[in-house]
Amino acid sequence: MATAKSTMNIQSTNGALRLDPNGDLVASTVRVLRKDILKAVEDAQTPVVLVLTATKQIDSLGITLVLGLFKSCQNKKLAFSVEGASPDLMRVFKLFNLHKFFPIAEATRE
Amino acid sequence: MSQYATFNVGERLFGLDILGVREIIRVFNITSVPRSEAHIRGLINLRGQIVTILDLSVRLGHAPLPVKDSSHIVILKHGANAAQSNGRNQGGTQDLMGLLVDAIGDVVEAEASRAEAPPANLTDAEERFLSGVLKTDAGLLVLLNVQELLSSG
Amino acid sequence: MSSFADESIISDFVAESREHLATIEPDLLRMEQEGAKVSSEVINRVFRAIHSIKGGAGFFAFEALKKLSHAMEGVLMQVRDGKLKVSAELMDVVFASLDRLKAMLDDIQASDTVPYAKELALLEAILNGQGLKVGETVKGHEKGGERDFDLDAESVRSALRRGMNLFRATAFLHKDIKDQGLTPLAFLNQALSVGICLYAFIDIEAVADLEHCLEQDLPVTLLFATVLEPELAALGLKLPAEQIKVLEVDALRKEVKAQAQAAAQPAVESSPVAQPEQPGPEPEAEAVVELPAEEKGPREAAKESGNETLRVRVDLLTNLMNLAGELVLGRNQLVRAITDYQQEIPGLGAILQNVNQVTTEMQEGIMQTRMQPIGTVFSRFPRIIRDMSRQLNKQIEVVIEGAEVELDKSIVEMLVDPLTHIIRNCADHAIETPAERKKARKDPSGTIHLHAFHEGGQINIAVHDDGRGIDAKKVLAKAVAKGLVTKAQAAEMTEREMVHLVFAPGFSMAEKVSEISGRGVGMDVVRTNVEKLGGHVEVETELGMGTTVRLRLPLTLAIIPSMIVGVADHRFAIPQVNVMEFVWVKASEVTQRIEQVQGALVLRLRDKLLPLVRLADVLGIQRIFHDPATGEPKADRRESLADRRGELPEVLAGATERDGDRRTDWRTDHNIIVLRVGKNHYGVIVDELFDIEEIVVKPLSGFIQGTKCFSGATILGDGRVIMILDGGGLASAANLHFTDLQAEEIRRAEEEKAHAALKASRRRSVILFEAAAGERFTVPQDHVLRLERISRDKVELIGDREYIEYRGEGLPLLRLDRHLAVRPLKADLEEFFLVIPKIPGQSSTARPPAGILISQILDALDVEVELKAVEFAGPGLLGSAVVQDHLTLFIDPVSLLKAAGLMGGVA
Repeated sequence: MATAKSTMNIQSTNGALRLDPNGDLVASTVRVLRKDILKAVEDAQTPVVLVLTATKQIDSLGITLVLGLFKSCQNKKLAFSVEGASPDLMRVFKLFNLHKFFPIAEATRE
Repeated sequence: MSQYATFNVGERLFGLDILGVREIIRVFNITSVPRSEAHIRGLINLRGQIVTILDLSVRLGHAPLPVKDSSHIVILKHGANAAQSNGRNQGGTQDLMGLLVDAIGDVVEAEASRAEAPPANLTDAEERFLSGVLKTDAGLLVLLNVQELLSSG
Repeated sequence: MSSFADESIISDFVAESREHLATIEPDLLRMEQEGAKVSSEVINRVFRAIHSIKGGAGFFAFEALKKLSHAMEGVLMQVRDGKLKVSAELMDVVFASLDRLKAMLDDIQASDTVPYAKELALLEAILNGQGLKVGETVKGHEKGGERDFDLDAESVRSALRRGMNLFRATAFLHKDIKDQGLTPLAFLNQALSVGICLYAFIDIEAVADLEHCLEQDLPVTLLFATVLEPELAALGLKLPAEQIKVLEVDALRKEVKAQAQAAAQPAVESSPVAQPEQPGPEPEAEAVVELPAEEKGPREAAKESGNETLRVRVDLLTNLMNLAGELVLGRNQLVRAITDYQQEIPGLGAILQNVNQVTTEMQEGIMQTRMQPIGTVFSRFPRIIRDMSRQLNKQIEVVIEGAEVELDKSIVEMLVDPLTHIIRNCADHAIETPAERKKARKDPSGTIHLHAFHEGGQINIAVHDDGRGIDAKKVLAKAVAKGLVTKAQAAEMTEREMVHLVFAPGFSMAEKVSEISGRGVGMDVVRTNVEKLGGHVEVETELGMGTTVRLRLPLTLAIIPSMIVGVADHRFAIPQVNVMEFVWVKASEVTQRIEQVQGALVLRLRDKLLPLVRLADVLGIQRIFHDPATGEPKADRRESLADRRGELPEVLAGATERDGDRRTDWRTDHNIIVLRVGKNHYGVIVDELFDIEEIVVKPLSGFIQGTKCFSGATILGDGRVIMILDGGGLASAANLHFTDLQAEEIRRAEEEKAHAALKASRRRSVILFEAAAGERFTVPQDHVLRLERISRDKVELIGDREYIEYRGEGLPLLRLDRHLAVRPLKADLEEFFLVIPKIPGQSSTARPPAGILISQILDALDVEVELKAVEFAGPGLLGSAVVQDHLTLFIDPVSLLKAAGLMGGVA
């Protein structure tokens, strides 16, 4: 189930909604992403997973977006987690202690 | 053995017991004190303390020393304690004094007891301020009488 | 726990905790007794005590202590919030737990070995027995509690050990990070370059849902440890200073807990009970600041109760004061050096301000240590007076007021002599013998009243006696006899001035030289000493009633605001207390305002003559002038003015411009500083004026004795050593004679008076008229009764005399040409004017004796002319002068009428 635009891949697998943005979560992308994610999670019933394997950078807006998504999931009583965070992203999430709110998994090195 | 800091004023080599020398610095920005005695060369700021500089040459009855590249100031330890008594230097800070000299020589070791009386061909002023002479490897060292140098008048 | 610092912190914590436990025991008993009625104050006190133990335990990682106190806190919180009822059983558990806590504290290092599982289980059972909602909340707290200590206790300790400050910094994701061009990672890296980030979190509760979150500017809160001060930390983090809050160490544990709770909330699904409990960082932080203060209350009081003093060597203080002075200078230098960068380095202003304030406070603090009560001087006087009154057979009482007023030690010391002198004078001269006092109907016992008080940043010391007062006339007579003032000067003196003659050098009032005072050194020494201290002295007296000597002194000598002036390339400081005003005389006014009187330069300033000295001349500094052509400074080779008394100084004669070149340059603007020395003022001409600076006075070496022109030296902000000018010394070095000038002033005032009178005599209000064409005359306005216009046909001829009817009577007419050598009026005139003179002493309604015929009235005006005698003088002609470019004859109508025989019975 791919979206028309190439901002993000959306998959429903293993009983989870996997949102996989194609690039960075930065000011220039977040607004489009938000629209797409909003649409994607609107009727979601399953846990939501944000896959960040393609994301190298995250800026203030990106973090806000992640938190907003988490919050929305929380409101819908859906579990939320992040996967595939690069070491840099991991560092940011950890420094901000975001891993205390939702599980964050580091990208597995190949 | 005593150690002497040596320095030149004109042709002569003078010596001061190194224990009486606080430090030796290059000459910079001497503020003159108008209407003071001729041998008062002026004041300097030594790391926030004001040091009164004597022109040794004038003190010994000669012409004022021109400041040259080689000129130095010999800062004396324990300054003029006589100053405390006349009431001008209150507050108990040290009254620091420095001597303007032409050039700095080596530190010379010599036996103080071997000092001889100053030669007879001295001016009155010189006689008052010199305490003796010492023959050293560096030459004839004229010893200064610091007490007298720093006494008023 | 190996380091000594740790040990001492921990032992503090243990002592503190024991105190807490000791204080809450009675409170717990009260809770049990009073049950629900117990005041919330009591519960809160208990709660805070346990809370603070828990915080410390967590901080130092005493696991057992932490867990037990945490559980106790949970129970107490429920009680506080009214969710748990106090029961005997509950209190049993609480007391049992309390005993365990005590046991743990008894040997803190072995605290984990104290069994507490039973108490903990009981406490948790109580908590769990409270229903699901509450249980979940507490679970949340439990979880939070674990998170709480994710914060690496070791790193906090290590930060504290390294003297770091703890801050809570708030950074907004947009404003402070994105808008600064930073990514969150870059921001954190930047933060980590200036300190240690102990904890960071985003307040998740504040986040809106996905739809609205991007419009939010979420705050990131950092617990941050750095060696930097708050302002610098703000700078390092590139955050506004108000977003940085300093955390007390005590506050930290609570802060951490608060955040942990906040962080814990999401884990608990919708828990309304917890909501009010879940404070944003802000309010909690405020509470945190208050709590320790309350807790510390009794302990601090105990510390303060021993208001101890410490003996410190004076030279140590002096040294500290000098260093503080240096710091002030260093600060000034720093400020000067980096002022230009204020724009470039954000936050620099705040840092400078902080350095500034701390420096000032430190300096003030050190100053304080040197302050001594004036009582140390006052206290010696009762004894002196007792001895003196016995010697003099007088009864004198000493009253002291304001002995606690503090002054710098050096001033106090230097006041001993002047004050002793004044007191001795009081006893010796002022206070009468008991017999004399009785005769004057006074209390036979006299009183000397010493009073010190603050006023306007200065210290006032008044010495009042109720003795005979100073007889101004006697003082004056003495002064004249001693040649201190001339008779002429004496004549012009006010009573006050006469009394102040006691301060004149060489003045002594003693009729005979007494054993005690009056040896010729007198009040002038007092004055000199007081002025040396930068103070002033005044006398007030009332004959028969008493005398008050008033001293006004600065609080401290060490730092004085001074005006920096320049002469040639020299700089000098003039203490501001001596500066009355600054006068700028424009080049064009120099010749009018500056002149020579008896060989001395004076400035005319508001009708006073102000003696002037050129600073360069007094100090023997070669003046430089700026070459008018090149602007280069060159030595001015003219002799100094001071050596040229008696000759008109060229600067003033500059008008002569003999060689028109650089001499004209001496007629530049003059900067004159008016100084006060006692009651005399004089002006000092300087080349340049700079700022007013706070200078630290450094004594001049005792070795320098040749000059009295300086009171010390100082080091300016740029490191330069400059001399501090002494107003009095400068005046005497310049040989200023103020008394000569007073005489000159008086002479001038008289001259001025005479001149004014003369001028007044020249001034005339006249009526200007014409008789024959082109011939002009005036009569004084006050000699004219009326001016009338008449037509020729009204003139009647009786004999050879002309008349006119005027108010029903015949008025004789006078033609000027009949009596003076002037031309007649034109014969064909149809109209005339008539000047009807006013006869002095006659009322305006009386019949005038005659009228003077003229052809036309030109003007009524004031003229200031000097009349010249007229060759063809005739009767009634005062003289001639040029008025409005015409030669005009001035007529005295009364004498003219007299000469014409027209005064009749009037004369």
